Amino acid sequence: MERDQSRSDVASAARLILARHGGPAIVSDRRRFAALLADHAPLARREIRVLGEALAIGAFANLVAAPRDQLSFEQARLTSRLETDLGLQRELAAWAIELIAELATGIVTATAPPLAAAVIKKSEVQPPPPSSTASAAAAPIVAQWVQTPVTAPAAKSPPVAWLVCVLVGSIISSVNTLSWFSVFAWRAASDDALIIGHATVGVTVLVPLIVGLALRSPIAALVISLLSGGIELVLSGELAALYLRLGSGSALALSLLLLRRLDRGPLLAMVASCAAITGDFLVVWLVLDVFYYSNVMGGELALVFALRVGSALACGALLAAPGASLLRRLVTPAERTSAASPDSRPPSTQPR
Amino acid sequence: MTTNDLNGLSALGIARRQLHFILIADCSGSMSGDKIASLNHAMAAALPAMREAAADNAETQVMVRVLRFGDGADWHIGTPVPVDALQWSDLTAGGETHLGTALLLAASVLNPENMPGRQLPPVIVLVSDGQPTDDFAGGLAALLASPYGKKSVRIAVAIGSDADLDVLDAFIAHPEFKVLQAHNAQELTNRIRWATTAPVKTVSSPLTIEGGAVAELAREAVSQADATGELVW
Repeated sequence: MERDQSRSDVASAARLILARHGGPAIVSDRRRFAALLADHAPLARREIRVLGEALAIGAFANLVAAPRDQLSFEQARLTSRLETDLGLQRELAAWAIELIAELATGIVTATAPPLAAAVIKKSEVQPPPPSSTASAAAAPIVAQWVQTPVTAPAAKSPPVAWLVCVLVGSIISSVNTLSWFSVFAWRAASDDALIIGHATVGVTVLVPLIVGLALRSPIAALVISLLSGGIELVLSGELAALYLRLGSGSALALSLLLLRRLDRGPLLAMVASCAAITGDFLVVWLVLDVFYYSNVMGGELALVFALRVGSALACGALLAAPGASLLRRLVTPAERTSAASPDSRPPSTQPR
Repeated sequence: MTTNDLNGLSALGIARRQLHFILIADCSGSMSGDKIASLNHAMAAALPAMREAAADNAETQVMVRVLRFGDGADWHIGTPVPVDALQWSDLTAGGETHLGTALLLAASVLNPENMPGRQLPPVIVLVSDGQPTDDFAGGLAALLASPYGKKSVRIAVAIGSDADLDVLDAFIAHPEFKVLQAHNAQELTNRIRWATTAPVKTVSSPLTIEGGAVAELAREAVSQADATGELVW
């Protein structure tokens, strides 16, 4: 209870300080902000020191700069950093980051507990009532990338987004199958063989893509790609299949990493994903041309390459259309924010 | 000579020199609890020694003011009181750290209009545990620009490890004079006692020239500056 009261006092003091001193910009002056907190909440020394440590690692600047749809990712990353680098209790680190995020953006995230009875909106600032009480500080952490040891259940995505993902993946796999058959002069193959080929390649491309996006795990995508390649090897006896899945799995894992690193939004990342998946062709081409077949015609290779690049661009165009926002929900966790539109820009950091 | 004889000399037109002693006390919220209690105890404990130091310099009349600051600044003891007649009343803590406002208020009295007659360089002792949260630079500039402010002997006592030593050094504005640090109640009592007695002895001594008083105090302060007790604050 004493701990909850201290956190409540600090949170209330922080909001009052922002109201008195011109908005969130005061938080960027770490020492002055800590001094003000010490004046307003002198008994909460531990919480104030933790906030100071969080500000020292750049939490405020990072949260201000983070796109709104990646705010929770950034919070989780900073929380883990406080926990691992400074040995702080996770609960306390999470509370500090959530408070800084609220001060930086004016948004109370879905994972944040209500720290006080009053919630400060973006357009107005109100000091919280003095009798406000705090709830428990612990909150579930959103899903993180593989680089951090903490995982959490991924946010649910709308069913339609999954259907769009399946459609996109089917297009990729179909084009890949057709190009594969054309290269190896299997034009006279039976309909059954074509169907089996479509299904096989479709599964081996689609499943890693879906799993990787759902788990937000590049390693999971790579592992499943290799497993599927192994299955193909067993069924077909073609070692090239394993190489093919290694290429596509690596490209998919890389694009999933870029999804986070580039911070350009899921749309560009998905286009990069599509283009990267067709990059497996380069692996196949190199391996086959050097180790397997020496009679592969240059013209056919060019055709295959063009087909695969074309399919990537087509998928990108599809994603730019109505499917884009649906897939955006797929790759980012759901957030209950004050903004209705998922395309709205992050809130301004100007003084309120 | 007795005090009555000295008063008699005053009556004949030979005025005693006045030494104005101004204590600027941080009463912000961070001083709540044992810090403000320790400061109150330290001041009450330092008064007898201060009176004794003043009595040893009969030609000098020590006048005391106390200025407190938190949210804004105001006089805790606004009218200068002779140290013999001073009764300490406890300070309370709360609010932010408006040191700049306090220095502006102090500057407003450091002039011949408010300090008439023969004056020794006033002694200003600042006691703080944190960082200013208002325009400190403006307040310090006003203090150093005032007629008696620039000539004053300025001493700073930092309470705890969160005090901004750069700010306190800027207040002292003397290359040899360092901030006195107190990390527990006993150290604070010792620092306050020294800060309220040593300047009285040094500044009012007839053997000390004006500029040399600060240097001499600085040398004495070196022996006071090392914190040797338990680290509590």
